[in-house]
Amino acid sequence: MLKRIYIDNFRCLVNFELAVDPINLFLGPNGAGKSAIFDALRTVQMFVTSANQAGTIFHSTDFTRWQTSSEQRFELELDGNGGTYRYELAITYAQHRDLKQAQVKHERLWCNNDPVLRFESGNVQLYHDDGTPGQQFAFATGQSVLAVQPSQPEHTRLSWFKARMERFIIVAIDPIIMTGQSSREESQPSPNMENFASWYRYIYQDQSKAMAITTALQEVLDGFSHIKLEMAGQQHRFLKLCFLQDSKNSLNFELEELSDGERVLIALYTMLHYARSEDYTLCIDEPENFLALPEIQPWLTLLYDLCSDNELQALLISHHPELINYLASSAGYWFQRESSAPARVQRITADDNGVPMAELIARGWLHA
Amino acid sequence: MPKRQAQLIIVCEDLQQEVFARHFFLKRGFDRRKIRSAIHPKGKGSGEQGVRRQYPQEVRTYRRKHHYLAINLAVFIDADPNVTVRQRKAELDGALKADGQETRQPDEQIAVFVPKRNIETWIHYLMGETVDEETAYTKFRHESECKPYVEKLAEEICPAGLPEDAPPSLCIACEELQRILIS
Repeated sequence: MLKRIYIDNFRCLVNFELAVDPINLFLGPNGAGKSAIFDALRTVQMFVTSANQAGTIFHSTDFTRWQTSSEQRFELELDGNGGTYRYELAITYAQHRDLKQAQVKHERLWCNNDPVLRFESGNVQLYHDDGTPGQQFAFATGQSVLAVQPSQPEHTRLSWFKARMERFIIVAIDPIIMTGQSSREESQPSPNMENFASWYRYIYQDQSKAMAITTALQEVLDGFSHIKLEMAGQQHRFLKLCFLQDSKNSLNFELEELSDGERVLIALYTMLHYARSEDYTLCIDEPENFLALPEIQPWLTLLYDLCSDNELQALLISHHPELINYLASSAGYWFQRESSAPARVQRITADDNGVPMAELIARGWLHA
Repeated sequence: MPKRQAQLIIVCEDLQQEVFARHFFLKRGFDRRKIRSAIHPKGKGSGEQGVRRQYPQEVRTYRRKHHYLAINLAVFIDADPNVTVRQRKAELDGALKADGQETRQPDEQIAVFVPKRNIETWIHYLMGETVDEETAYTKFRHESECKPYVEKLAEEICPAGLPEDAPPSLCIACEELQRILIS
């Protein structure tokens, strides 16, 4: 489980630190830095899990505009695999002709305060699982060592951390661009879940997960029977949803034929039943968008139950009264920011007001 | 257990009561998609007042709808040390009268649960502690900590009948439960 985030010099996040729980609700005005946290997490995730160059992942436009420092820092603390892991990454920008090019100043990983990886000034020091120094080598400063280091039996902590970073799902679902067409399997949903069919194709390899998703959707979508992936040539597939008309007849619909709300429901329940019991962190920006009012609480209480049973972790951003009134008192964080000033966050505490929390926020009275 | 088709509206003071109630009713066969919770704002006394204010409106709506919709109403409201369960229920009856409504009738699927002193008293009892109804027992860091004990209540204790040392307010709650589970 993610325990702590530290971000410095990324958009409006300056020297920003946040400890998180199994379920968390980020609230606050537009532009207060809530989504910037998700973007920072996604950026670090991409860096650690792909072999892409830092220059293609980190951009100088993501610097805090009013800061003069040319260094961005990210720290994550995660519990799991028998320990507490701390990952530190510092990115600097060097001028290459007309372009500022991102490079790694340092990348470090600890487990229970024992070093696992130290990458500084182009030199890498790996440590064995027993804490003794291992391999040492020079490495170009354009990539993550974690990303390119193959799994080795003596470095299981390094491999675990990299695999755990893949288990962040960070999305803001946009049903309008969700497509039922797939040209290949994809192990991660894209930021707006437009690759839903490709992601489902990947999930479909695990029949027990696919069955759990089907069962959940049968309860949610009236008449829904199952999802099928129709072949369209050697590589391509069309995702279709089968709905029963009566006991003998059924109709197949393409994903694009469903309503926006139905597509969001499919995405939300797929995420929960795919990720549950697998030590995932779901970061969902406004999950309630497009949903009919009666659909919000059943999904939310299921998510709450899964998180409180430690089957999942969730970081949510929302402006919706349903989420605010249910979660803000126990899991809410309030973000705020003045113009050209960094984001600040504080835990929301229960108060003595008789007005519902969402109404307090709407009136601007939460911390007034 | 087959899923119940009736809808259940939970009106309660805080998230701890909601988690307790929802988990209990899920274990007793209610469908998650048919449970709707209305939590009243936390705070010193305000949750209880919020439930009392909301109660006549909930009952009015229930009475308008229950002829053609299968609805159950579960109300959770604490009894402070200086108030008995009977008094708290009488206050709710008074709120109905003040609203120009009849008091709760025996055939209505409206159950009023009054934990005394509060829901934590019941949870600590279910955890195996000896409890009284005057002490303010510690709240739980995570509301979900009650779930294993609620499960035991729903699946073992309730069907077998409560032991003699059970808090009296929990015994009364078990009688109230019949209003809902019978439907």
